Amino acid sequence: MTALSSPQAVDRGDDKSPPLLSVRGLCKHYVVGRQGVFFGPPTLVRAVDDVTFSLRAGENVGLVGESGCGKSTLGRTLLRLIEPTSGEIYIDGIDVRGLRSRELRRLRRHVQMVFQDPFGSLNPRLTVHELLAEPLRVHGLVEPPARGQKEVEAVERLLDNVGLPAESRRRYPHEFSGGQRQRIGIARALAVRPKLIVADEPVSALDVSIQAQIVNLLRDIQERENLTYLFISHDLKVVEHLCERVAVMYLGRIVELAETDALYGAPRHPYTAALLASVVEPPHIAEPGTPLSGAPRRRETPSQAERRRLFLFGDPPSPTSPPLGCPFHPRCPKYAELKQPDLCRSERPVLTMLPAKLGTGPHQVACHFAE
Amino acid sequence: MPQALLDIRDLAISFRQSHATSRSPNGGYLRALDGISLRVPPRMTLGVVGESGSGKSVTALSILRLLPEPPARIDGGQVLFTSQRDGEAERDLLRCSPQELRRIRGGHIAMIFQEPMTALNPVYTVGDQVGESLRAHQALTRREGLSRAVELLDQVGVPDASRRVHDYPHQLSGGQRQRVMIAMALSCHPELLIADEPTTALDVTTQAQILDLLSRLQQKLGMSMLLISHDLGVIATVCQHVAVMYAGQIVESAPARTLFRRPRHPYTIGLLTALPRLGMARERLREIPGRVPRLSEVAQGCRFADRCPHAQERCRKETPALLDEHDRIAASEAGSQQQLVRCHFPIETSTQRLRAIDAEVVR
Repeated sequence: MTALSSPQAVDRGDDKSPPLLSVRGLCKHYVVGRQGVFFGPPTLVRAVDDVTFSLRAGENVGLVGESGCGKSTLGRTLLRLIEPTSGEIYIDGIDVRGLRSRELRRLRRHVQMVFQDPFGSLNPRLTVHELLAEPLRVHGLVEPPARGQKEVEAVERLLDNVGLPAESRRRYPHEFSGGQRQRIGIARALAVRPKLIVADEPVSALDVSIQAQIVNLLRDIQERENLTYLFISHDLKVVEHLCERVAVMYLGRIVELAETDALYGAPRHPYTAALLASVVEPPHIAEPGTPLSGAPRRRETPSQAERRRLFLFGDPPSPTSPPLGCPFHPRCPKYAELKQPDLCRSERPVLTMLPAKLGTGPHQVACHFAE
Repeated sequence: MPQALLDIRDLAISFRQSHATSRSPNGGYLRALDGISLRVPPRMTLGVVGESGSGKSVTALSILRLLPEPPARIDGGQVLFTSQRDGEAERDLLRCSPQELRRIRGGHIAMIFQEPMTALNPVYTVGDQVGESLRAHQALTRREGLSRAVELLDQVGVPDASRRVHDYPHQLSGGQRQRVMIAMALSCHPELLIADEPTTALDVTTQAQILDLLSRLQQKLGMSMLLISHDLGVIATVCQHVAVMYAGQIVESAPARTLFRRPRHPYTIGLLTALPRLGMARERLREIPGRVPRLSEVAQGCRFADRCPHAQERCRKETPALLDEHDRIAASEAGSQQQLVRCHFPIETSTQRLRAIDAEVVR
C-alpha cells in the first residue's frame, strides 16, 4: 500500500476552488470517569478522533456508520453545538473554532442543521409563524415590525418552499404529522439562506411513503437554493441516492472516504463491505422487458451467498477501551481470512489515498490490507 | 387445506379516546382494526408489513391479549389457536380463561418486542429472566433453570454464555439483549413466535445477524413465526408469506415472492417503488402523496383512495372487500397460497403494472 499524501493534500487534489467546509484533525473526547479510585488518569471516549475531510460547494457528502460511531457528534461540532476538543474547522474560509458568541451567530447564517426528531426539535409553544420568523428576526433578514406585512410574506414564502400551505402559519407543531413537521424543520433551516446544511438523520423517523417525499424535497431545494448537504445517516440506501461522496465512520474515525459509485461499487474497507452486505431489500418488481426491475440500474448488487460471507460477527467494541491496533480487527472478516496478521493488532492504520479503481476521484481507506 | 396453527378471523378492535365524553360519537371509541383475517400454518413465517398507525402492532398484541382493556375494546372476531401437540383442541384466545391464557403465553405462543432494554427487567440477571418462564411452565428449580438458560443463550449465539447468565441487561449490547429476549421466548419450545419489529432498534450489521438467527431457529425448531415490521427488506428476508396493512385493514396478502414481484394493490406498488434501493439510478423517488389517514378520518370507501393515482368515483363511495383473483370473497384468509387484494381496480397484468409505476412518476 502506498502512502501518497499527507492529510492536507488528501481531498480532491484535482480541484482548485477553496472548499466550503474543511475539517482537519478534528477531535471530540469525553472524560467519562477515572481509572483507579480517584486520582488515576481519565477514561476517555474518543467520540470523534482525528477526522480530516472537506467538501466543496454543491457537493453532497454522506456520513455513514452505526450508532455510537461519532457521526452525529461530528455534525454538531461543525456548528459548535458541541465544542470540539481539538482540530481545525473552516467553513467558507471562516475559522470556526476562534469565534465568539456574536460571530458564531454570523456563522450560523452560513450553516444550519436539520434534526432527526421532528417532534423534539420544534418548540411546541410557538406557532409555525413564530418558529420561522425567529431566525429571520435574529439575523435581521426581515423588516420590522414583528408580524408585519413583510414578515408574513417571508414566512409564507418559506412555507411554500417546502410544500406547506400558507395558512399553516397560524398553527402549532402538534397539529402536524411527522412528515409535515420535518418540512417545518427544513423551512426553519432554510430561513437564513445558508450555504451548508448539516442534516442529521432527517428521514430516519419517517414512514417509507413520507421518506420519499422528504428526500425529493431536499433534492428540489438544493437545485433551487444552491445548497450543499452534509448528510448524516445510518441508511446506506438514502445516502447513495443523495450524495456524491461518502465517508464511513467506525469508532470515531473515518475508515473509508470515496466517491459514492466507487465506495458502493467496490468497497475497499472490510467494514464498508460488511455494511453494504447487511442491507436488506425486497426483490424488484417484475416487469416485461426489464427482467429485474422497473428502475434502471447502475450496477449489480451482490448475491445473498456473497453477502453472507461478508456478515460481521459480534458487536461494536466499547468506546472506552477500543481494541489496540486496527479498532475493527476483532470483527474483521479479512483479518480472519488472512490468518490474523500481527500488523492489524499492533498498528492502527491511517486513512491513506489509494489509486482509483472505479471512477476518477481519490479513494481513501484506513486498512493495512486494502487492495 | 392443512389446519392453521393460528387463525385470526374478522378481528375488530377499537380504542377509547382519552378526551372522549358521553356525547362523543360511538361512545368515544375509534376503530383501530377492521376485519383482520390472518392464517399462520405450522412451520411457516408470515410477515405483516405496514406504516405507523396501520394497526400491525395492535394485531400482534391482541393475539396474546396484551392490550389493556380499556382503552382497547374487542368488537368482534376470533383468534383461533390449534396446538399441534397431542390432545389439544382448537380454542379461541379471545374467549379463554386467564389461567388458560397464562398456560399459552410462553408455553405455546411467545413474543419478542422492539426494545429489548425496556422488555427486560433491569434488576434481575439475564439467567434469572431466561429461567423464569421455565420455572413457571416446567416446574424446574432455580439451579436447573440456570443451567438450561446457559444452553439457551448458547443456542442463540450469546458468546461465553456460562458467564453471561450472571450479567444484568445493562451490561449487554443491544444485539445481545435481543438474543436474550429470543432465548427467553424459546425457552419453553413455543409453537408460534410473534416478533414485533425485532430489529428496528438495531444497527444494520446486528440486524443481519438477528434475522439470520431467527430464520435458522424457525427452521431448526419447526416453529411458526409472525413477524411484524415496517421494513419491506426485513420482511422479504425472513417471510414466506406477507400481508400488507393500511389504516387498520389488510389491503394485500400473498406468498412473499408473488407480493414483491407482482404486487396488485396500488399501495403495495407505491411502497415498493418509494424505496431507494442500492445501485438504483439516481432519479427522483416515487412519492405516495399525502399521509396515512388518522383513525378519526377514516370514512366510507377505500381508505387509500385519497392517495391513490388510480382512484375513481366508486373508490370513494364503496368500501372494497379483500378478494382473490376471481373477485371472490376470499374463502380462506390471508396466509393461504392465494393473492388477495382489497381494491376495486387491482393491477391485473404486467403491462398495467408498468403503467401504474409510470403514472406515479408523471404525477
